[in-house]
Amino acid sequence: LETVVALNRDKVGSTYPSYTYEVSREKIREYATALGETDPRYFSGGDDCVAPPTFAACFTVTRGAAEPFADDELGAHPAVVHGAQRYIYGDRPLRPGDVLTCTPRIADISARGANEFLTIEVVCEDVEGHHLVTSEATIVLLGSAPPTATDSEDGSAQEVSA
Amino acid sequence: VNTARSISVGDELTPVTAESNLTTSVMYAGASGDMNPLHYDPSFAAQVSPTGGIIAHGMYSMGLTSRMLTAFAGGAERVVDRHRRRGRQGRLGGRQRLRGADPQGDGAHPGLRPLAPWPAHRLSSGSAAG
Repeated sequence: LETVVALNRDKVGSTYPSYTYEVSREKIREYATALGETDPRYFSGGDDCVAPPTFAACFTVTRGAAEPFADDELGAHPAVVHGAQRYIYGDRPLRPGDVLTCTPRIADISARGANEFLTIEVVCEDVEGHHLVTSEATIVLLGSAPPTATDSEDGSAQEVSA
Repeated sequence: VNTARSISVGDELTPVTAESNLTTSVMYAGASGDMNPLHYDPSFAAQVSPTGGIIAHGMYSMGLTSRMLTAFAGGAERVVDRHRRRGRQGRLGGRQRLRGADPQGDGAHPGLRPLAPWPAHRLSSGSAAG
């Protein structure tokens, strides 16, 4: 049994190296097919083709978490569940040909009970630096919370009353 | 595309019905790139799954609820913020019917009552997680 240590809260605000993702028409079609989508624009060969809102999962969920989970200073461990997921869009859906620069950042670390909550934000911009979509994934790390501290809703630490 | 619509508290969205089985799970794994074997390998799932069996990707059920919400909103152009909290973990199998209503009536964050599973995710490769 490996020793589980709590996440390093000094890492909140840290960013990880950006990666690039290019949106393609065929990947949109494949993703839409997997969800049983019926909107013809997801399957269009024309200029009206757009991606479904959760298409961003293809390049933010596992890829966005890869660097943080490889960071020994952060201290994440693999006993996790995906607690919550949010996508915040700019002024339009993703389209074929979009070339995204995706930058992961540790947005928040908190604890409740025995579990820790790690929020990884991935900001995705086009080549001109225009915001297209931001992913916020809250990962629940099971069992690694410090035994005496829990967090209130505003994120500040407080002692647990016995 | 709908240009304007009134939304009232308690309005119900048009339900989405979808299969959830090994085929849909393999398709979603390939499409999304989330190749966690918990979602398609029975022997692996038997060791680590909280349900004892294969469970669907949480993002699959978020995708299905997103289908319903995007249709309600009038297309992907009208969706600016999509949020999914953790739901139950569930086994694969059978047909899911997803329905939702808007308890706040603000239209921006329609509260859902998702009936689909939300899985454990292992984000790093390597040894099996507990």
